Amino acid sequence: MSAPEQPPEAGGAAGGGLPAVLTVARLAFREASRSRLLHALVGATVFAALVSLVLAYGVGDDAERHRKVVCDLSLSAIALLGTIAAIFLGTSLVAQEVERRTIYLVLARPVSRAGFVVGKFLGLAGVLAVAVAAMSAGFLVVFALAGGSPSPAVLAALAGTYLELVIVGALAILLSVAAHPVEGAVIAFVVALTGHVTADMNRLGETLVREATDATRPLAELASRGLYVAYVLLPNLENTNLRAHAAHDLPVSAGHLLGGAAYTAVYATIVVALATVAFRRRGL
Amino acid sequence: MILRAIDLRAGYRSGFRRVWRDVLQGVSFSVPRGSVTGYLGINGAGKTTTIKVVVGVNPASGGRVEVDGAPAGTPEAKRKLGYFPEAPSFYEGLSAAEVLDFFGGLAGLGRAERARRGDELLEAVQLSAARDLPVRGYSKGMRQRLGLAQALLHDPPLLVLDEPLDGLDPMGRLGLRELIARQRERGRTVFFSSHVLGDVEAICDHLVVLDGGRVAYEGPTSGLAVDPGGRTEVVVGPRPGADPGPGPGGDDDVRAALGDAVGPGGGPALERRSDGSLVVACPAPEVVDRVIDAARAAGRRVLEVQRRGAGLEEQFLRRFGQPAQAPTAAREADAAAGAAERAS
Repeated sequence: MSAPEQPPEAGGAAGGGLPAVLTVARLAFREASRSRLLHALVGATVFAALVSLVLAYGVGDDAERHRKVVCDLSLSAIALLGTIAAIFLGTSLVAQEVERRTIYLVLARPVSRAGFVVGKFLGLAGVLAVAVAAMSAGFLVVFALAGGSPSPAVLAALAGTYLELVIVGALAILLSVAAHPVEGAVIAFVVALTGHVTADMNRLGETLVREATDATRPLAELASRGLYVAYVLLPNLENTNLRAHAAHDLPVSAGHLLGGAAYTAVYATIVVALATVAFRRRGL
Repeated sequence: MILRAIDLRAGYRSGFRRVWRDVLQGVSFSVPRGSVTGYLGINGAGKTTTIKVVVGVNPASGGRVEVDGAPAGTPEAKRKLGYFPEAPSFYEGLSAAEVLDFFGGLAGLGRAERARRGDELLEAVQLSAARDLPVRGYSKGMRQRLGLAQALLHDPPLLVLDEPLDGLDPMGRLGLRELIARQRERGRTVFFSSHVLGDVEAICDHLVVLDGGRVAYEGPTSGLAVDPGGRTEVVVGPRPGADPGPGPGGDDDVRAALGDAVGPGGGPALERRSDGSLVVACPAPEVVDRVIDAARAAGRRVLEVQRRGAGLEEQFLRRFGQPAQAPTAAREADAAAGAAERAS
């Protein structure tokens, strides 16, 4: 007998409800918050901010330039090191449970596989919030030393960075469930980098078609379609990237930030839903 | 019946092409409520695969399993069982108290109830002193005990234990046997897999044996463990004041009496030990009484009466120790015999 195409989910569709999901989320938060890697990355972010301060004073005496250099470099460090944290925590949260076989004890309780994945994502989102808050606190202290103040644009950029990390974390969970954790981490990192140029990729496709000759048009149209599909499927992390606004102290509309939050909520929900489907089909 | 498997099929994907392989090929059995049921089979027979379906970790690819009437894997079924996995693993950074608090939360227990049950169970499994230490420092025995505590946390009517005796020292095995006995006294049902057949024979009243992906025996333990070719040995003490060294030692009179008690062919059933005692092999229970009477009549003391012969382990190896094949007539006969004993 062969495996059913769509095996019934062990754990039931209803699972143990929201309390069980929140219990899984609390444990995921506790486990991830004790991660030495996370502590190291938070420390590295503060160190990067201090280095940016030294560099800022090395380029001259212009106070505005000091502020811009520290803001630009520090926010970039938060985004980069936060992305690494989101990927490594996201890929390990579910994979470690399977590897250590603790998942058997969890799924034998009234928790569905879907509830388990959702709980892990919520715990990850929580710990990323705390991590970004800690990184932000370190950055704001250094930023104050450089003569900066937490303007609305700076705070919006920090919030946008958090939203970016939520999407990356959701992707990391999906990829770790659907593939090997190491492969998942590598793919997640590539997607996170590509996510900042998806709009450019789409524009490139349009340009290819516009400037194609009759001889190259079929190939250009094919490439354009491929780039459009990538544009639609891959996350557009520039939606919530407000770091340039913060560095240049440009105004950020509430609509921009709320739009980014809505995009994050929808995209992360779809990704986590796909992760639950992939996890339901996985043998343990 | 608190647990029923009906034509259960389950397996896994393996190899580069992820080909599906059914390990269980239509397994059907029932576990009587209040029993201690052993689930036996050689390595790879599908015991853990079955248990994963029963507790809801993996789905079945065919057939069905019911836990107290609820389909396995549903929250209703999961609330009615406590699960102890093979070589249980925990969150290494958590303490035993935190582990129990987490699993109590998943089981739907309130905060106060979790704390109370956690304290009670840590006391019962003798982990109170280590309750706040991280699990990463626990020995294997301590992990096994913590695994049992989490399985008992919500006081389920059915305990499903996968190789709970594996790796335990004699004291640990004794403690677990006592714990299982207590659960039976409380009316709970215990369904467990094990390779330690001596302990299985001692504590199980019901057995399900898996062979070649199918049930090869289901029925009372006595139906498989009792060897029809077994015998009872009576050890008769030496004549008071006799030389314990080799030689007949003046035993001719008692030898004759014991031989008569055993009956025709009783002579070779006698064996003299180096301490001068005589071991009399009794082929039937009524012979035991006659041998004891004859020994006492000859002024000798009866030192020991012991049942000898193939126990569960030997019987198991004899019947199921060969590589799994298509069900043979003998195996089908075993299954039929088990069914008949259940029916009676």
